Amino acid sequence: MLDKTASVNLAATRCVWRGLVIVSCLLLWLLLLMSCSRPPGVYYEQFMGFGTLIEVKIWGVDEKTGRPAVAAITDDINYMHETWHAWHPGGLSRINELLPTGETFTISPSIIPLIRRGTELAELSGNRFNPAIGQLIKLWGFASDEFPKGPPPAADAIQKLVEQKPVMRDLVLDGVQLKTTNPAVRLDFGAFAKGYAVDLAIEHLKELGITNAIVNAGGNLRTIGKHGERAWRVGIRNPRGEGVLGSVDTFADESIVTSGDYERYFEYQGKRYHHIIDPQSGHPAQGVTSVTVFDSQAVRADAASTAIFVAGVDAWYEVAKAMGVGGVMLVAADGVIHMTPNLKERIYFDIKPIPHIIYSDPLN
Amino acid sequence: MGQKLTAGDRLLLVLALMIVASLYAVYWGGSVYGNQAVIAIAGKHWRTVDLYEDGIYNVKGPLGVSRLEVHEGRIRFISSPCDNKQCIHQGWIQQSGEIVACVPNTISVRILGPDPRFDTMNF
Repeated sequence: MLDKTASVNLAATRCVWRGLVIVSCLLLWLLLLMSCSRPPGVYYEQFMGFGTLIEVKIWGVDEKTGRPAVAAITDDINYMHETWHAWHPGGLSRINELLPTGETFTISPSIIPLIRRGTELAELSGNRFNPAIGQLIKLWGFASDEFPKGPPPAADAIQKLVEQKPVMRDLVLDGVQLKTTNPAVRLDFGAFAKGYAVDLAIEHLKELGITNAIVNAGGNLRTIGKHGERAWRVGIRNPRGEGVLGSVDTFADESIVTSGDYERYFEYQGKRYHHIIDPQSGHPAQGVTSVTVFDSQAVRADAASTAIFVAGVDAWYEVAKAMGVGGVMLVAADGVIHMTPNLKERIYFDIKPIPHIIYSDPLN
Repeated sequence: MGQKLTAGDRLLLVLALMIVASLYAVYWGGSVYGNQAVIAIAGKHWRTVDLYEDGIYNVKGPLGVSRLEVHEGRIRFISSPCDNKQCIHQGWIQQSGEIVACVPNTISVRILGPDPRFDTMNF
C-alpha cells in the first residue's frame, strides 16, 4: 500500500520533469523557428500604367504594409497618366488644343512642375530632348495607342514642322497662365513623364516609411536601399536578339533608364522607323540602338536617354556632361558600346563574346 | 535497460522530428520556386507554370488570346493579337528574374527562382 503511493509520487515527479523537458524543447523549437525563419522577403506587385507594365518590389515588408503602399502609388500613376497624356482627353490634350490660338489660358497646377522641369532639361540637352515637338510625334503616328504601320510621312510635311522650330522656351508661364509665342508648339511628355512618375512614386514610398524598393515603369526604373544584405540587381535587355546584355548592382538610390529603337517602331519596305525622333531632322535618330543612363533622378535619366540617343555616337558625351547625368552606356548600330569609365567595374556583360567597348573621359 | 518508451519519451521523439522537419522547411523551402514562370493578366496572377513541362498555354487578354510556349526550361510568346509583336521579338526568357510582356494585351511572364539573377529588368 505504502510502496504503491511512493511509486505513484515518483511517477508524478517524473511526469513533471518530463513536462518541463517537453516545454523547454517546445520553446527551443519556437526560438529556432523564429531565428532561422526566412527573412521577410520581397513584396511584389505589377500593374498596367502609362501604357506599360509597372513593377514594384519592396524588400522587408509583409503584405499588410506592401499592399496599401502599392495601392497608393497605383492611384498616383493612374492620375498622372490621365493628366499628362498627350492624346487622351484630359489636361494635356486641352492645352494642346489651346496652344495654337496664341491666347493666354489657365492650366491645371499639377502640370506646371512638368512644364518647368521639361523646359530645364530641354535647354540643357540643346533641345535634343524636346517635349514641344508633339506635332512631329503625331505626324509619325507615335502619338496613338495603335502602332503606325507606315508609310513614313511625306518629307515636305516633316520639313514644314521642323522649320517652325518649336521649343519649350516658346512657352510663357505666368502663375497658372500659359501661352506660346510659337504656334507650332504641342506638348508630348512621352520622353520624360515615366521618369518623373517613377521619382514621385519613390518619394511617396519614402513618405510611407519604405526604405528598400524598386519601381520600374517599362524600363524606367529607380531603386532605393537594398535587397537585404545585397544590392538590388538590374538586368539590362539585349537591344538586339534575345536575353540579357548585362547586369548591374545599383547604388542605394539610383535610377537606370533605357531608350531603345526596339521599343516602338514600324517597318516599311524593309526599313525600321522607331519612335525616337530627332527634332532637328524630323526623322528617327540614326546610328544608335539603345542608350542606358544612370542617375540619381529617374526624370533626368529618362530625358537624357532620349537626348543622348538623338545626339548619337559623335555628340553623346557633350550632352551627357551638359545634362549632368551619372553614367552612360550607348550601344551603337554597329554593335560597339560607348561607355563612361565609371561603369567599367559595375556592368557584368552576359553576352558572349563581350562587345567592343570604347570608354569616354570621366563625366566630372 | 529494457525500459519501455513512456508517453513522454514518444512526445520527445515527435518533437525532435518536428524540429528536423521545420529546419528542412526553413532552409530548403525556397526550392519550390525553381524553374517556374508566373503568367499574369493585367497584373493579376493567372497561373504558375513548370518550365520543365513542355506545352502551349493560351492566355486570354482584353485583345484576344496570346499563345505562350514552354520548352526545356524556357518560355516565349509565339503569337499575340497586338500590333507590333514586340513580345514575340523578345524571344525566349529563362533566367530567374527575366520578364517578357505583351503590354497591349496586358499579359506578362516572369521567371521565378530562389536566388534571382535579377530583381528587375531594364528593357
